[in-house]
Amino acid sequence: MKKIFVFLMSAFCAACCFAQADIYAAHTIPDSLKKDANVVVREETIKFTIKDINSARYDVHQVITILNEQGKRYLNFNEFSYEFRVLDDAEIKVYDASGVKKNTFSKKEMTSLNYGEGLVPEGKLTYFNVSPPGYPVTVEINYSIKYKGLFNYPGNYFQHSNQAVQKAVFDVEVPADLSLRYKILNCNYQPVITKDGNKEQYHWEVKNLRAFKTEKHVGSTDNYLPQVLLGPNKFQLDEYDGDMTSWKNFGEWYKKVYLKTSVLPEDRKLFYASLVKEAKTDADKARILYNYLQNNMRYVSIQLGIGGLKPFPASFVDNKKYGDCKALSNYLKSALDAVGVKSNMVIIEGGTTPGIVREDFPAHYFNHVILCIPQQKDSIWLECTSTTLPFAELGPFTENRKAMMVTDDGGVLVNTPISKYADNTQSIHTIIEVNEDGGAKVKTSFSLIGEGRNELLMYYHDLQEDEKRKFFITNMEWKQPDNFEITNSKNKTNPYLVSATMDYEKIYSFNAGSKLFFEPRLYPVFDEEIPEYENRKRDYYFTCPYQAIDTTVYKFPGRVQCREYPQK
Amino acid sequence: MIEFPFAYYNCNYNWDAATRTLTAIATLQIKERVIKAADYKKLVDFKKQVMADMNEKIVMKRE
Repeated sequence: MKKIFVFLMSAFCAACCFAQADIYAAHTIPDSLKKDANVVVREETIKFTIKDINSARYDVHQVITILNEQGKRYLNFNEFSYEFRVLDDAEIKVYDASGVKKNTFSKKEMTSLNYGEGLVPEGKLTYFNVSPPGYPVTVEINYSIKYKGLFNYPGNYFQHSNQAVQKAVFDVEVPADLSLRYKILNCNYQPVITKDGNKEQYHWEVKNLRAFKTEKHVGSTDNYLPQVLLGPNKFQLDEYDGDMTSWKNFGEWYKKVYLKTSVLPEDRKLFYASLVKEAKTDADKARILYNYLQNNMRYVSIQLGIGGLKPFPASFVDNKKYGDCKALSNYLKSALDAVGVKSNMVIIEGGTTPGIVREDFPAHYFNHVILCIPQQKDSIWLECTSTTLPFAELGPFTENRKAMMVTDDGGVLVNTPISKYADNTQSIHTIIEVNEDGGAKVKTSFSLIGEGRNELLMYYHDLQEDEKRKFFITNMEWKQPDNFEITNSKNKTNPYLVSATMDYEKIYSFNAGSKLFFEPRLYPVFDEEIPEYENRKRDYYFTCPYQAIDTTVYKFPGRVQCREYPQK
Repeated sequence: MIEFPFAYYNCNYNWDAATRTLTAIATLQIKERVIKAADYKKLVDFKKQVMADMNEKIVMKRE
């Protein structure tokens, strides 16, 4: 009898090991799933269990084989926690190519940092980067998140680019009296919906999805990745009940949340009134207050939603002199209220490739807040987190997209303005004085407005001198000089001005006998990546429309004659 | 001049023999942020033509 038991146990263990090897060993991946794949999801089970209007649990089990270096981002685990959303448990197991377990890492072994500079109650970032023993490598990731306030239901991507999926399941359970809304994008994976007593269950399952490649510059993943969006009907966060079945109702919730946060102390109201006493129009008042905000308040980078949605009160920002996007926008709104200028908070997705806000599916697509001062014509839009944007300019981070404006009548979907190419202009003027030996002294000056200016302020202005020179050569792709000096606007002016003088021992590219061949200019005026595709399937996205105007003047010495130059 | 509905490029050259000065004024305009997939070949063509112009050389001769 004992021998039979030992035999059966051995057979069971062998079966388990075989089953494990089947999932964890890289060689068992069908060839069809390896084509174009950097990673293969071997098994994924995600369950979102909504318990009641303000609590839920999100359980994730994933087994993923990373085939090569290009898939290494799947080795990084990052989760935010804050008062309404807590990483409950996490564990990562690492397997080598043959499916042998090499390591197990628990949540205790992960790094956990405080987050939010005091603006995010209980804010923490937990992360862990797996060092792979080599490729392919398989990781098993198990983690759970507890929601203690429910505002945004997490949707699900069924597949990412360069990712194959052997099997993935997404389950959602919700009390029938709450129910939920869903919208399927870029695929037709319909759920199996069942009812069990007072619960509704939604079950999505996909198998053997082959990897696909993505073309470059295709904009948001919303344009092409198969996914399902989820949205609550009723919700509750931070003791505020809300209804997300319409944009109007969704905006009503925001209005309630903002209601008591927009009050400034009386002495500050008087201060702002005195600050704008000479201003003649609402726009003039807004310009003065926006400039005051830019010069006196500091932005703390916290994405909207992390740490909740209620801004710190205007009095807090006034006292501390800093805030995140919602706090600074709310602060400026309060200051504008104090001088009789009506403004509205606008909830928006920030980023140069924003997702698509679906008018027919109200949900929280957003991560940022800006401000709008409605006008009869050309409303004034204000990015309150920027210390460099000119008054009433947005830039590619928030322009040209749908957003939700919070009005007295609730939420309204609005379109932010679109910049034109002339709004993003760089003018470059270069004089090249060629000497008898083929060397040259070069003087160049840049004048930039719009996105070119923003980029230089963000990535160039605060660099050390040697880093600025490096920026000229590597980022702007200027011909490497032998000597180099740069100066620029000291005060982030608009337009932003940069000047440089450069010495070249040899300015021409090559010679053939007595002929010297020169480049028409010393950097590429057009350097966009536009690869050739046989049949491009998706639209191509530039960051923004723009124009470049270049004037290059060659001054040649005596005894040099012009033989040819490019004709129109 | 290279012109499509979504983009424009032009470069004018002027040689002034008296001052031995060659002036090149180039203007590049990307007028649309999004180029439809159906127009992508035109965008590739635009880039090729601009690059071809940018890569042309100014030829001088030492006397």
